Amino acid sequence: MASEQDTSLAAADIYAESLLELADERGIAEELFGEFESLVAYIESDEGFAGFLASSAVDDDDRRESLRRIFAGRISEILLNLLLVLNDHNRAGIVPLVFDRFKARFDEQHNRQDVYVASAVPLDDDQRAEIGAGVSAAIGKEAVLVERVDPELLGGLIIKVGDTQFDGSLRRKLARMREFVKERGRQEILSGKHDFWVD
Amino acid sequence: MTRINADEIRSVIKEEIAQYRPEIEVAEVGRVLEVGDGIARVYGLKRAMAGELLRFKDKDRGPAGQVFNLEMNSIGAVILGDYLDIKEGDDVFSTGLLLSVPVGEALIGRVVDPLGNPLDGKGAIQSPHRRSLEYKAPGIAERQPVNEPLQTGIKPIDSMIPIGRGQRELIIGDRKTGKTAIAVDTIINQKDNWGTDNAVICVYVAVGQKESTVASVVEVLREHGAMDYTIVVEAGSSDPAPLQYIAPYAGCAMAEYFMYDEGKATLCVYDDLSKQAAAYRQLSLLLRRPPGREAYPGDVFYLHSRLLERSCKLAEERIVVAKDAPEDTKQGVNGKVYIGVPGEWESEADVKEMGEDSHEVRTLPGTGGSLTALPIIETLEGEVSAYIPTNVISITDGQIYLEPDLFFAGVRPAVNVGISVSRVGGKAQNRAMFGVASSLRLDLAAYRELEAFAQLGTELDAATQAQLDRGARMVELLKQPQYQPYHVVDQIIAIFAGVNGYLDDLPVSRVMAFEQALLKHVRDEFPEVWQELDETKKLPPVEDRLHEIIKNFKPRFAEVAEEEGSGASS
Repeated sequence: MASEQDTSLAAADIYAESLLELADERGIAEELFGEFESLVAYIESDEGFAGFLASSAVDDDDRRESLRRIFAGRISEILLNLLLVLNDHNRAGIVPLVFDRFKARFDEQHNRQDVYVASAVPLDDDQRAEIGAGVSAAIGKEAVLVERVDPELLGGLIIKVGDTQFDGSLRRKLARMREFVKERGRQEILSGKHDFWVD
Repeated sequence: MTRINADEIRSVIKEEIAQYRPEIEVAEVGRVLEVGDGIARVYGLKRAMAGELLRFKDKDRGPAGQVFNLEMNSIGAVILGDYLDIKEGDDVFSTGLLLSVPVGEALIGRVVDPLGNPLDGKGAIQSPHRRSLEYKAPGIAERQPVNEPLQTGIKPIDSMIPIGRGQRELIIGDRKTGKTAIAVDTIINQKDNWGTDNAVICVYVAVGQKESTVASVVEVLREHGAMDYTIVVEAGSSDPAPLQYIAPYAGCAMAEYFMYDEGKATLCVYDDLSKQAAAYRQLSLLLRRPPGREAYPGDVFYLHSRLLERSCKLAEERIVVAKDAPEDTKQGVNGKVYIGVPGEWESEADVKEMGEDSHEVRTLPGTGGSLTALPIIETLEGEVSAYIPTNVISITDGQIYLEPDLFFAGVRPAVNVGISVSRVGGKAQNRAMFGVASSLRLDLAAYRELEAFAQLGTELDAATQAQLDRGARMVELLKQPQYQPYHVVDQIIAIFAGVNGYLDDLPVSRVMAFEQALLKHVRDEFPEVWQELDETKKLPPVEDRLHEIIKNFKPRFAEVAEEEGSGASS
């Protein structure tokens, strides 16, 4: 049984596909991407506006007028049209989902993939370049690094590509070593080969 | 004074650290989208498989979950354990494993939750064996017909609704009619078998019950020494629904270990499956599976059928060996392995051919195990044609109906022998018991037919009155106190006395006392008769002697009664 999220995602995918096709026809896909990205970033930062888009309490006609007033001349025509078309179909709330799918298709087209990198301290340019090159070579696509700093890692990196995570952090190595020593120690004690007591 | 040798410990740890090879750990990781009410929606993990074990937050020690729904862009998972710690955005690791529980000797005598974590405060469970929660039931070739009795120690059941090892017998009735009591008495009755070849290992699965109730059941089992051979698996009513859902499967897996790996007889009590169905309904509805009849999901039949199909009697494997061959011989003299019931006949024929003085048949150890299931279903207002009861009735090999009317009329165990049935029946019954039980059945059936007349209080002809009197005494005879299971030989003697009319001249109120006194009399003064009946399991050889014994006992009982009577009045 599909969840609500699944049906919305399916709808978003259709809008994203059409949007990308249109943008490609006009050769403006790259700029649109950047613009769309910042629009969604704004929606996610402004709870009130996000609510305004998603709420069914707002009359569609009123919302249409408001969107026109807010965005005309401030965003590209194609993006504004997207908002209005979504609104006409009572789907203004799925704008961020449309972006997710748009980005997924866009990255696919340009052979790009987001790679999530977490490190204990911020990466410097050399490290960034090295990691980017290494991962790109491994996955056969252009790796777009999304960085996160987490001092709790203590050192090393965690790199996540799609579903697969490579955990080379010091924190994880120490945890595993601890488990290893505990388990081996327990086996050694049970084996009876050592004399742990003295009189 | 002993003290710890720190140097020794230090050197061991140093050696381990030196041997350790750090690696980069690769894992499939997803993200929690929504969580609550025991379920979580997970994004990512595109390669996860249905039923796979997941771990939230920490790959090794985080709360466990199981993949329930595979959807286009997300996974619906049930959380096995406390979901309050899990937040949106948390990592979810796939393990590539199926859900499994620890099994083995270490579990015996313990009270555990469905994941194998101890609940009795007696320390961690250390067991080298694990078994998958889901297991494919054995096919036809691996089974053989049920042919050994599982003695419950309860008179109406062992006589007229006998249960065999490997059978599924449903205990069904309204609340507070004594369903759990039957299961507990059955478990307690296995005490005499413990330590012999006939031993039965018991698993009691408590689903959705009050913790206080389960605690008192455990206490009763402990008092009667039953915890020496029993495992208790508990998912109480305040435990998350996913744990209540998997609890019966966990219990079944623990019993299966003993059946498959050690060829032992096992008993699994599921108390009760109605609550498991309700928990499964909760999970399914939360994960948006379409509701069917009574809001249960469409596969609620499969929920119970796959559990109960795992109860079986495995085929015994036999070999023919020389009489003096060592105990652990695994190869027959002719290299043949005889399987199941046809194998039994064939092997005996072959031994005759080879010479009965020089050869014998041996059963290979580890084969011929069994898992008997006693599922319990609670009905509402006696409605046995409701959805879940009818499902389980169609799956099991018979039902024991308990009725509130009988219970409140003082008939305890409140078994309605008229409509209760065991589809395995006499084939797996002690032969001597089989002999006396048929008369018992007839007497009670006649009694039931005439019961209405008894209420009218009209004048009846002698024959009818006799039947009524006999029936009333047999009903009285079948009553027994809780936690006092009867040995099958005692049951045979008691019923023998009843069906042969020795109770007919006693007041109904004296029947119990007579029975107790008679049984004590036989045990004390004629132990050889008792033994013979126990060992041969045949009635005809001792029949005449039993008639003698009872005839001679009756006057003595009457005397004692008179004394007591006169003693009371003076």
